Amino acid sequence: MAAPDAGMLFVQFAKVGLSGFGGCLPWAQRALVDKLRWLDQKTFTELLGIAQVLPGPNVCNLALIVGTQFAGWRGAAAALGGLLCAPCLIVLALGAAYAHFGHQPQVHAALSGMASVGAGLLLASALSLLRGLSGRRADVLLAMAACAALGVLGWSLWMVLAVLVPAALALHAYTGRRDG
Amino acid sequence: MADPQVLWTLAVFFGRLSLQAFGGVNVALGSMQRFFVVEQQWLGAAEFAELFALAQTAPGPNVIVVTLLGWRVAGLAGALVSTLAMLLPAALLVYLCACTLVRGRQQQLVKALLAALAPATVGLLLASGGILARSSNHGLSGWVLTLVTAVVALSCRAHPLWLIAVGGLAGLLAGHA
Repeated sequence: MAAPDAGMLFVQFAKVGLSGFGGCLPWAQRALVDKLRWLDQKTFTELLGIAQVLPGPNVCNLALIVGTQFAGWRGAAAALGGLLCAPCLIVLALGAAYAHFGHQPQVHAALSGMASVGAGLLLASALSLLRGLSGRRADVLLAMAACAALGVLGWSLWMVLAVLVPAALALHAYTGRRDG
Repeated sequence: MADPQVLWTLAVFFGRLSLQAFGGVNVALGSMQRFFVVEQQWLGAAEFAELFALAQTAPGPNVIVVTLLGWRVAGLAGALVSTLAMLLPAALLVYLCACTLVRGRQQQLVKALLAALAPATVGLLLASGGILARSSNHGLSGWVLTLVTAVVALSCRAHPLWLIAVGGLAGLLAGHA
């Protein structure tokens, strides 16, 4: 099929943005690979890897890369704009409602329960990723070090990354050489 | 009209965070909490956690929490400045990488870098979860809710929106008790 143009990228990424709650990546995969067949699974995985290795919101990076590949900078802008435009408006509407009703005791009580759950969801996603690392004990130790550096010592993000990413690279190179 | 000084502070903070946010926006939540609650004292800890939860109930990429935080501190201009500052520096970098991308070539490098980034980003996400939990919970019932959520989310594939709705209900009941 013909490569999608900027208009199509905008529309399809807008759909992805509106369907994903708490992260859009599974929806992006479903749309791009299964439904639209713009990418095969292997290419999707490869582009996703690049999106994740670069800084910035992952699914936004993916939209930028896919948009660029199909339609240059216009495609990148269209895909990112499509992805974000409706969610940004919705979150602002929620914010306006929050400013208006947030002070009422019932609303406040409900919001505080939602916040506790939100924190629990974040912890769950971190723990499930930690479980994924558990094959390599050294990686778990590095993760704990990163956690302590931010949570206890109050290091900034770039300091944590500047120390721990080279450490992990060196460690993986060392164990890779020893095992290989 | 929003204070230009505040807008500039938001732009600088998110512009720098944009290039440090490896592993996604949630990894950077702990840093955002520090900045908004502790350093600038723009928001209370509980309010920060509530805004995060609110952003979770909207569809879309996680980055919209930045829009909401910017809006809360400096209105529409704050939302616009924060969102653009969080997006544009990284987007420019990603675009340049995407232009020079030769499919199939960088597989090895990307794999090695992803493996090296993983421990740090997982640890940062865990710390962010801890910081958010401390912000949102003032009593035993809140901590119980957080822990039960974590266990449920880990053991079955419940939709996050349902869990947040249950949390709202639980908060309402606890508030009445």
